[in-house]
Amino acid sequence: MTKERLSNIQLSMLFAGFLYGNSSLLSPASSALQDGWLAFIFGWMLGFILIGIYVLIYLLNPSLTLIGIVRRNFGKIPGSAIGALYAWYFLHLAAIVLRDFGEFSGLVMLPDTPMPFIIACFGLLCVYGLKKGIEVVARTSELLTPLVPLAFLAITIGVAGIMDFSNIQPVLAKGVKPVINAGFGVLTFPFGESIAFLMILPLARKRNSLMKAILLSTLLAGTLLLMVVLRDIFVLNPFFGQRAAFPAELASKLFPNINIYPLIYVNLMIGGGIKVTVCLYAAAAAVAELFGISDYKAFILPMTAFAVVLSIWLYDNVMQMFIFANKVYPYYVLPFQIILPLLLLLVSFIKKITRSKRLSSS
Amino acid sequence: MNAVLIIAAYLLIIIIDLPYFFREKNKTRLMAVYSFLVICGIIAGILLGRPEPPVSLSDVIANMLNLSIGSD
Repeated sequence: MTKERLSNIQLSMLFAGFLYGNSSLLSPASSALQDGWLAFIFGWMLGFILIGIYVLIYLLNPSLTLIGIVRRNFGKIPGSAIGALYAWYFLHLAAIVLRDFGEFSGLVMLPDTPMPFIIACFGLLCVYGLKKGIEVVARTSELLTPLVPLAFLAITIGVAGIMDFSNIQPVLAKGVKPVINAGFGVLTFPFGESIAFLMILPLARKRNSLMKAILLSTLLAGTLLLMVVLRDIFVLNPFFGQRAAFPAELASKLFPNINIYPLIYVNLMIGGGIKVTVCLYAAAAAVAELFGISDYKAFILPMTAFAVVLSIWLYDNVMQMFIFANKVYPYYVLPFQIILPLLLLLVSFIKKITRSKRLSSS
Repeated sequence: MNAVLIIAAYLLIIIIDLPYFFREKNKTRLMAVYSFLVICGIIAGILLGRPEPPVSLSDVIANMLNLSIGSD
C-alpha cells in the first residue's frame, strides 16, 4: 500500500469543509435565540482551545494516529479498548451526518424518494472517494471547499433586503446561562468532532506549520458559520428560527423571485460529504490499526453499509433527531471530545517530561 | 424481500472486496473483523425492515446516559 501524504493546504481545506459540514444547515446555536451569535462566539473560542489541544496531543506523539497515541499513553489493552470506542464514535458520527443529509433531502428536496435510498446513494459517493484514497478526497476538498463561501454569499446577498437588524435585540435578555449552554453545544458540534482528524494528522507532509494551518482553517470555517448564524437571526425572527427544522433552508426560501435553496443542498453535499468521508476514514483506519490489518480500504464498504443501516436506526422521526442533538449529544460526546483528550494531553506531557529528565540524567 | 435485498447487497460488497482478502497477510483477522461488520449490518438491516422495528439507537444511548448519571 502506498503511503498517502497531504499538504497543509489540503489538510486546511479538508478541516474547514469538515467543520462547515452539516453545521450550516442545523444552526447549532439556535437555542440561545437572539443571543445565538454570542453563544456561537463563546463556543468558537472554546473550540480554538480544544482544537489546539488536539494538535498539541499529536505534536507530543508525532507520527502516531489516535489509536497509536492512546495505546502508547494508556497501555496496550486499555488503549485498544479506548481505541475501539473511538472507532464506534467515528462510525456513529458518520451515521449522524448521513441521517441529517437524508432528513434534509427527504423533507425538502426529494420528498417522494425513500430516505434509505438517498442515504445509500450518498454513502456510495463517499465509498468511491475513500476507495481512491484520503489523498484524493483531500484534493477534491481543495477544489470544492472554496465554493462553499460563494454559495453562502449568493444566498446572503439575495436576502439582504429583508434583513431586520433589530432581531438581535434585546442582548442577554435571559441572562448568560442560555448563552453558555448553547455555547457548550457549539463546542461539541462541530468543533469537538474534529477529534477524528487525529487519525489524519500523521499524513501531513509538514509538521512544523500544522498548528498554524489547522487554527487558520478553524478561523475561516468559524467566521463563515458565525455569518450563517447572524444571517439566520437577521432574516428569520429568532423564535421562528428556533422552531424551523432547517433555518438556513428557510432563510434561502425568502430570496425574492428566484428559487435558490438548492444552493443549501450544494453546501451540504460538499461539507456533509467531506465530514462523512473523514469519519468513515477515521473509523476504518482505527479498526485496521487495532487489528493490525495493512490496508484500511478493506473495511470501507462494510463500514459504510453499516453506517447506512445505523443512520436509519438512529431516530424514529425528525423531532427525535433534534431532541437527541440538543439534549443528549453534548453529554454523550463529552468523554470522546473533552475528557479523554485532556487526559491524553496530561499523560503525554508527563511522559515527555520524564523522558527528557531520564535523557539528561544519563 | 427486505432480508433478501440486504443479503444480496452484502454479497456484492464481499465480492467487490475479495482482492483485499488475497492481498492481506493477516487473513484470519481480516476475515473475523470483516465477518463481524457484515453480520452486524445484516442483522440490523433485517430487524429494521420488520413491521415492529427495534427501539431507536438514540433512545438506547439516552437511556444509557441517564443510567450512568442517575437522571430521569
